[in-house]
Amino acid sequence: MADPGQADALVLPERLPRALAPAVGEARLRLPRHGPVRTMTGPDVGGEPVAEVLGELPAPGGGVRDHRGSQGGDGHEDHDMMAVTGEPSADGLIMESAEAVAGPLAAGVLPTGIALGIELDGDVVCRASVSSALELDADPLSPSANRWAVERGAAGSPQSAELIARRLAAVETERALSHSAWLARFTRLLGWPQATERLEGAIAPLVAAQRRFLEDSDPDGPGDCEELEALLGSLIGSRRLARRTEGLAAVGRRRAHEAGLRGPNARAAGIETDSRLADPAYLALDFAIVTRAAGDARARAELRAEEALASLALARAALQAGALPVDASSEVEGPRGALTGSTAGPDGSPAVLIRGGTPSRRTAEAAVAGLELGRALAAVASFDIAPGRSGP
Amino acid sequence: MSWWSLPGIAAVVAGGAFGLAMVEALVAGRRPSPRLALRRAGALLGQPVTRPWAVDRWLYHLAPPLLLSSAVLALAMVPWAPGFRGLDFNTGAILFSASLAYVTPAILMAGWSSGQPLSVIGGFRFLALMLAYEMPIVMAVTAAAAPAGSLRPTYIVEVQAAVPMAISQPLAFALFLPAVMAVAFIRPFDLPQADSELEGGAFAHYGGAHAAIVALAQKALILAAAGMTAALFLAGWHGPWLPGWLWMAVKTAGLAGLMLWAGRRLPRLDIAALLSFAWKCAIPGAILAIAWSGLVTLLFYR
Amino acid sequence: MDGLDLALAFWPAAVLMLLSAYLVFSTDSMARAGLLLMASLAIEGLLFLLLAAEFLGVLMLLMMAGEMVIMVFFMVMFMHDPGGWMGMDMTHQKRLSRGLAGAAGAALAAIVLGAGWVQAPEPGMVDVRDIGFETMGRSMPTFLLAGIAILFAMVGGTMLARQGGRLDRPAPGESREPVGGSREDGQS
Repeated sequence: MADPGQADALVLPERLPRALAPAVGEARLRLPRHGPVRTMTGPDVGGEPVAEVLGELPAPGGGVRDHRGSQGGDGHEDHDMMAVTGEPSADGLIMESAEAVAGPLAAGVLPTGIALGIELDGDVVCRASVSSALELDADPLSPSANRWAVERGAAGSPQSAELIARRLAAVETERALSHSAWLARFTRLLGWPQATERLEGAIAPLVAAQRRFLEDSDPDGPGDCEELEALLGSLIGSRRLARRTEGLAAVGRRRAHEAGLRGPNARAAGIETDSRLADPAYLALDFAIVTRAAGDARARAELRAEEALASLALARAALQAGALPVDASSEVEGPRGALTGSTAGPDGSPAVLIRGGTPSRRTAEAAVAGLELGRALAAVASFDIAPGRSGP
Repeated sequence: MSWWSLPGIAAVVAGGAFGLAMVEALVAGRRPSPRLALRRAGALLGQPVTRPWAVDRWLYHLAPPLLLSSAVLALAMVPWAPGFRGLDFNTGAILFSASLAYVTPAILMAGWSSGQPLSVIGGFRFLALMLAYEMPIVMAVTAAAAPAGSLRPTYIVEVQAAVPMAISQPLAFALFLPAVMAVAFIRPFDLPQADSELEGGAFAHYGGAHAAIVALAQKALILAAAGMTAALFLAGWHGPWLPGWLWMAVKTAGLAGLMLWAGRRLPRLDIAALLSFAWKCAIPGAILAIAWSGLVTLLFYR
Repeated sequence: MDGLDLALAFWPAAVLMLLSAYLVFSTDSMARAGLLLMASLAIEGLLFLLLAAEFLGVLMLLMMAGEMVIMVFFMVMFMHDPGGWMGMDMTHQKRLSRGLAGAAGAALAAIVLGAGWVQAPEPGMVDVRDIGFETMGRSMPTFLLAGIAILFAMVGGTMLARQGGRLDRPAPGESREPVGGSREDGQS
């Protein structure tokens, strides 16, 4: 659902990060007849109690999502007629720059919690900055992978072969779910309703399977995913997808290496990095790494579709095998990159470490300079950035 | 033009909008639900009319009515049946294009007056698009009018009694249909509002009654586009067995369904690619279409 | 439509048209100025329709919409304060302008009131039909080709004048990098 005006109610967690307050406030404004707002207990996304945070909202009047642009009335007292910024663009005109923000509650571009600040020169992006509004460290969108990483990182307690098989199936199901959900979001950004609706419908069984895995109830895996597999297959090599993503935000192999990209973003640039290559459990299931060479948005999208297909097969195979070889490594390949489990987190509890800063975000920011707005948004979305303070 | 025309046109707008909502649901693979459509319309009207603070008040409030007026005027030009011809002006086909031309300032006003960068971008994107696609529309209309020797829509329909213009002038037809889809800013040409990219774009800051007017205007535009294409290129009310008005309704509904179906299946087109195509292919193509129509007229229609 | 009906429709519309034209120059906002001018010329088109000059009226309506939005576009591009928020006085050389406008208006009024307008054409007089036949007959290729030539000249000139296209430009401070799929963006 993209428009708060079509919602029936607004449901919030009990605690809300302050950074999300303006966006939530505006969503509340746009509910029909200031519709009901409810709170529920749920995942902890950090922050302060909701009532406190929402009470501090600026007065209604809209315009909250975009920063006040320089045209149409900025703060009049400091608006100097000659305060033009930036260098002339290729058409020779010096334009005033305008700022816009996408997110953190944008339904199209990025997952909830990620805010994309854009500085615009006309409709061309000069600068972008990606930041997370959620005060979390780990990636909240891959709980199964996080759990397995923590378990493997717990020194001195190797897992049983059966458990490994189940955890592998869980992680692979989650990978398929993550990639497919990303594809649904991406096609929504591209304005392709048929693909979006079909994908969203097809991933429902995966969502249920992921929940069953997390609850450790008797998992029967992803089950019948024919429709999803057909959809993913049709997206690989799709001309409609290619037309919008070909050559967009191309990251060459050398540049990807320098930036320290990991996960699918790196594999799309031709770097063969995957923790699963060294894991005997995966090797026992005939795991084959998926890479692309082009490094553009099309490569990233098609790579994720291909990986999702492979993951579904791996999950099924793992459950069928029932028991898989044990390994001492504490690395798990999450949907967005390698995760390392450690028993010594910042406050002593088990934690998941993600090494190497946020290369995807920095690469995305660098990639969009000079692109037209629509293409810039597609470029940023193609990196599959996850909320949280750090992330590949 | 009789006094019945005006209530008749209003009825066509209201009924057509409703029918289009059903067609849209059908094309999406859902069951058409009249109650749901009415409920959504009611919810839209029930929304508060919030106005962003940085707004040019006159332009902000005038843009949706201008959009609706131009849409209804364009719809009024469509000849539905020999007995119900709409406003049958002598220059009806060009007046149709003229009414569509006022969609551009309406959307520009809407985007500009909201005062926010993404809305302004939405408005100006549409302007760039329309400057490019207005010429193919007018030239295609001229190409269709040449064999009839008149710009009156009913005469253009009459001259297609034997052969629809889509067959005798395929290039004009192929240029006209996407161009009118672009004017109606439906997918895949929904660049001004671009729900996912521009967070609502030109119409982001319109709520309540304004948004309802814009939605109605868009439906009227789709209906006008489909109806006029059926009249100009698909021989309007001509056809065996069925009465004229039914043929016209079938053709219009079919075209509208085709437009909506294509919109669902295609990702939104990239603005740079669209403009490039318009200036390099569509406009030279339109000139060719006029030359072709002259040839066809000389050989077959005189 | 004639006589009283015509007068009742014509005069208020004419007054509205002149009012919008005046407002074009009294408003501070460039966007409003352009759109007011469009309104004024659109009313003029409707007046043509009223006076049974159908094709002229329709052409006015069609062309003015497109032209005025282009004017708004250029004004927004070049003016420092297109929104008119700062209340700048953008009029210059007021006395000279008033003088010239008054003189031009007086001359036009003299022509309108003093010329011998013909109420109905007599046979043998050159009239609009003859002009029409001439234009659409012998001189047709000239007009057609002139229009196409102008179009191609405009587009070609723009293509030759640009340097690299706006979507190729990196952000200030950024070096030109392979990152950023700008090579095939924009017009190439």
